[in-house]
Amino acid sequence: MTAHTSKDFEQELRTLRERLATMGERAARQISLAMKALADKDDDLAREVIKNDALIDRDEIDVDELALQILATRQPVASDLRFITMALKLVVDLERIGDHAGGIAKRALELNRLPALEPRVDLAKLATLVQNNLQAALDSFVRKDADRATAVITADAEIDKLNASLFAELIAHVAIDPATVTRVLPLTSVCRYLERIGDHVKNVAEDVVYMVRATDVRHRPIVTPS
Amino acid sequence: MIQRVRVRLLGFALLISLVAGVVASAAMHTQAVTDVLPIALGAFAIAIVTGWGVALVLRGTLRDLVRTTQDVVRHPSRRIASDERADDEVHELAEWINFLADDAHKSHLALARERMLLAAVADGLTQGVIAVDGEHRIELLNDAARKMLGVKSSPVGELLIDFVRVPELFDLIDSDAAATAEVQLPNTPRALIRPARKWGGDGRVLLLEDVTAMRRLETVRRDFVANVSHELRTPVAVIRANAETLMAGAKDDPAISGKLIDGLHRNAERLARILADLLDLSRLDAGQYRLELSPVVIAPIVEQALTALEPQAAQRKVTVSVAIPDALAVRADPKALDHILVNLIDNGVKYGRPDGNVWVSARPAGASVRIEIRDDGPGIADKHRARVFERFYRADPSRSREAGGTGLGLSIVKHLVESMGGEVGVEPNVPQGSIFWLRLPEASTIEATS
Repeated sequence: MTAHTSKDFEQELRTLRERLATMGERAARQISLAMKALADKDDDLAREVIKNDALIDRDEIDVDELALQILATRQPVASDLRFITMALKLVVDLERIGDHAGGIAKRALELNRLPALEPRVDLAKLATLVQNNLQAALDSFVRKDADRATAVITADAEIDKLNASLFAELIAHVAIDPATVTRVLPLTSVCRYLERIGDHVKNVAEDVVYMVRATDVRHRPIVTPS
Repeated sequence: MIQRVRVRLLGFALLISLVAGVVASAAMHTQAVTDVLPIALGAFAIAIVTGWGVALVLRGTLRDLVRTTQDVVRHPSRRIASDERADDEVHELAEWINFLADDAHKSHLALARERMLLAAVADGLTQGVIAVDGEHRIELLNDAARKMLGVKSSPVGELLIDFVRVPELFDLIDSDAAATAEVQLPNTPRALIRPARKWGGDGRVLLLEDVTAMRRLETVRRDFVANVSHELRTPVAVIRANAETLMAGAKDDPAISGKLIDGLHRNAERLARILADLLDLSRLDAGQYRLELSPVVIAPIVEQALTALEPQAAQRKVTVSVAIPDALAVRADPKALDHILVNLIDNGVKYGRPDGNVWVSARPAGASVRIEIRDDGPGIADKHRARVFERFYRADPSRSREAGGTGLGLSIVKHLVESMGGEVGVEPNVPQGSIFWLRLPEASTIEATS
């Protein structure tokens, strides 16, 4: 009987891990589709991204329910407890990432009606950095790899730096030609969304470090174990 | 041999204990208890000692057997050696253990062969196959699936989530419905995921099909039908409207009739051009367009094309510069090459910016020659670039129709180049504009001049 109960518990933990990882993948896909809608001036794609946000919201509810059910019925301890509490935090970050991707799609709909800014400010590099970091964070989560997660936390600084330089580049456009402000404002929002996504990815990585090493690395400098 | 001795000893000991027991009980029946007691106790003592001896011997024999059986289990090729002359139970047991071991070894080999066959068949499929057990551990992931999912190792026995995070894949594994999903996989832009019939186990088998090319072709076909009807309808509508106006009385008004007849002529010409292009394309498709491949020096053909395009270039004030080594030659059909170059340079002049530039250059690239037609116009957006060689595909419909194109030019160019064993493509020019390039097999100059 004990073995059976533990097998069910194992199964629930596995399902929770799968749900979180696939939810993360869905959020990552939303970012790449939103950026594609912006690059290709594709309104249909932008609307699809906005519509798909409901799927991420549904994922959030499913994960929450499952985590609470495990807490209530299994009363987990030690690493299992850390995993469940982390899941409850991670799901919030992933849902916010989905919201920001939806925000990028909405800005794409506005920008698609306007002529492109010349010379172009290339946000693709920032988006790629953010997406790679999200994929690395998800990898570190499924593989319980604290070193990988630590690298993700460190890489966030680069995202912040690039975001600051793109922001300055965009503002320079307005300084030269104030008429470009209607195009620059939505682009600064896109920058801001990407930077916020980067912050949520960092949170995910911090949670992974806590889950694996049981050490809280939030709000403190990263010390890489030698 | 040892076993045989032990078994014989065992029989002997049992006999002794039996005789002792019988003697003791017989004595108890015939004599007074006090006389018989010592004899009976002695007999029981003998029985206990021999019994203990028997147990020891049996234990030793069985322990030997266990040890040799463990050896057989650990090393599938080993068997229990037995004495041929012995025919007792231990020997028989050893024989049966050997038989079981043979049977297990054969089953093991058959299973391994079956697995190899299954893996070979699965790896030969163009469809991806994923099989997972009830715990979502990978049981089979064939080559095609690994390629589509971007999985490099062969992770049998590992959890699927450690390698793949596609949400739809997991939804389908968990769902009992015969649903399908069309999604983007890490290495496949469009893949159809379909669960196979359940086979009775806890797990699931999923099939992945790369439908990228199929979906692209569907889009091309749909767009082609829509575009061709649009291209034909526009001039026909003008011709009909002009003819109707003329018939309604405008033919008697010289001021209007001239314009209307001009419109009739222009649109009839346009229809004729489209039909001629379509005919060329269908001939190329059917392989009826005869190309005579011979060594052709490029420079004179470019000169010829430029002469033909001089009025258009002058009208838009476009400067065309040429940089082609005099002796450079390709294996091509001279007429087809002329058609290709006129078309590409004409596009550069028409769709580049007024007062702009078009550069025509050629250089050897390995065993072939790369010819480039570069402009500094507005360029082609990424999403259109891959499709500009499709029939009637227009990156900017209003501009290209205004410029007088039929929408078939680049499609014909692509067919011609490929029929001559070459390649054609387009890439963005830096900082602006497009580069249309073609690659044709190089021909030696000596051959060309001779």
